[in-house]
Amino acid sequence: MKNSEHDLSEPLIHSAPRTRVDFPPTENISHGLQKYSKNGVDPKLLSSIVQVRQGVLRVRTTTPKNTEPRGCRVVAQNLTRHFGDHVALDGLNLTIEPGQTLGLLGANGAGKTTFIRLVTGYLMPSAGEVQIDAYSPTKNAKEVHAKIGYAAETSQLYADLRVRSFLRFAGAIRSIPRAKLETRIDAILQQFQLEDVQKRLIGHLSKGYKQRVTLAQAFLHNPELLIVDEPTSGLDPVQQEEVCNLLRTSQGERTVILCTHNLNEARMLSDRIAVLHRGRLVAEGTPESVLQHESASGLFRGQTLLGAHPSVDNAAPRENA
Amino acid sequence: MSFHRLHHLVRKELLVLFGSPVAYLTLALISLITSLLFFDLLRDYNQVLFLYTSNTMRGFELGTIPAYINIRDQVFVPLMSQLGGALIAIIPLITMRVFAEEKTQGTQEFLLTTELSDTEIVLGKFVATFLFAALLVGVSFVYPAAAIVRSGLGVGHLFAVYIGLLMLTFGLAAIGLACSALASNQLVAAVSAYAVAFTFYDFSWANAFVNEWTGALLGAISLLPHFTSFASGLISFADIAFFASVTVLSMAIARLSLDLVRIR
Repeated sequence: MKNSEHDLSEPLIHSAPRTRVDFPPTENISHGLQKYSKNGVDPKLLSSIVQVRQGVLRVRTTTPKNTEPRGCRVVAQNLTRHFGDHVALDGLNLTIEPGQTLGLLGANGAGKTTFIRLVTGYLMPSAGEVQIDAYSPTKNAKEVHAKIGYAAETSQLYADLRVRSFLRFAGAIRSIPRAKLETRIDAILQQFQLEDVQKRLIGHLSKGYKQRVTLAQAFLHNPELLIVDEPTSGLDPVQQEEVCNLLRTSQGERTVILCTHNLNEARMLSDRIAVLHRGRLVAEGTPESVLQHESASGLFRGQTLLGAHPSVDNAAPRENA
Repeated sequence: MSFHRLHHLVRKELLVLFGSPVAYLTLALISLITSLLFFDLLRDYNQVLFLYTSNTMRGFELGTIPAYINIRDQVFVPLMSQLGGALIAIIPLITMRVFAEEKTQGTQEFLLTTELSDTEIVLGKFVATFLFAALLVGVSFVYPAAAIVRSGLGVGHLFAVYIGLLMLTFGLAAIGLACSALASNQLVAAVSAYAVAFTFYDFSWANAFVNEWTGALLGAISLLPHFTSFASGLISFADIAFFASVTVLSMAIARLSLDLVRIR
């Protein structure tokens, strides 16, 4: 599907409108919830109590997600990248299914950013290939770039532009139709809580806000493949939580490649985890299976019980894990 | 090629340019340099004229003022030559950041992973820089225009000189942009642009050391001789084609530099 055909009016979070249930202030919340469920709403659909104020319980209900997975399929086959004599990525084979969130773990220099740059087409592979829905990032750059939203590790922002101007530029060069652009920017500013700073110069923003702007531009065109490189790097714990919450909204909505050092972040946000060490894939599987088998320090040193085959889904747990 | 995307890229480039003090500083600097050069030449011209018209020489009465003592030859022509030199000093300050700053800020990766094609990126940056260069020439052209009008050279001559100055500026900007595209940072971009622009500005000094054929070749690839004909009021297709070739060559180098990023 071409980017211009995306339905940009659809919400970023699958949620029904907030529902009001009025109950006397003397009644407790559980009573309010019982009353709410009597109105014909399945209590299992209640995802969170959003607000209880002045005797009004506002509840957000979760719409059952479309069972058809969204996003694109990413396949790396024997992907290799050299920088002179240095081998940054060595024969990587990896498949990311549509709608899946892949946590890409590894120490500094493991090859995570190189892999991401090969997926985005910013670098050309020395050998092997990567395909995104059967498109090559180097041969079909336009088709691939229309599918990708990329938030890089270092904030790729123009310090001399204002937040709204930057988002307008980012949207326009991603072929968001002119008629929808301003509406879309308003929605994304609200989604990422950037409304208050939309007229400020990006160079004057705090690191947390810059990270939000970086993520906002990546979400702007509702991409099928979202790539985020170290999204919480250098942020304080509160800001890290905010960024994680923003990424959580994306789960199941699109394919996500999350590149991180943070094991907790990877565990919470990923459907699968792949661990790279010196350019090679040393472990791959569900977060539970990978993190159950490998100690954190072992993962980053590239130790694995798996020998030649990196998949850990069916491997036996490590005794002293 | 999408004109919508191109329009927004040009707009972004101009916003970034005018978001920094460099744009205002260069506009102020070129105004200052042009006015100083103009009034200095005008003062010299007035002094010479004063000598010829003094009681001793009585130039007007006797008709002994040489033909070359006129505002065109004494003020306008040297001003154009000196303005060309001033542009060599000013233009690299504008062009140095255009590509190199994207590399140092990391925004190049952002641009190269959007739907913008490499050609659109290069074209957008060249168009934005040329628009600013046209503004720069407009600002610097106020005094020369006054000299042309006062000397009675006519609107046609004025137009030819303005086109020539614009072509020279575009040529210098194209050289600066190619250097910025190849350089890893703004300082290297500026220094290399100065070196290339000074080298190719005028090769006439080399005529004493080379044979006739080589001298003609060096003259053909120099910027100044192609500008001089505009200054004398001639709009030559060959000179326009020369500056267009410099621009196209520089764009090709800039486009190639983006490919080099991917295979580095």
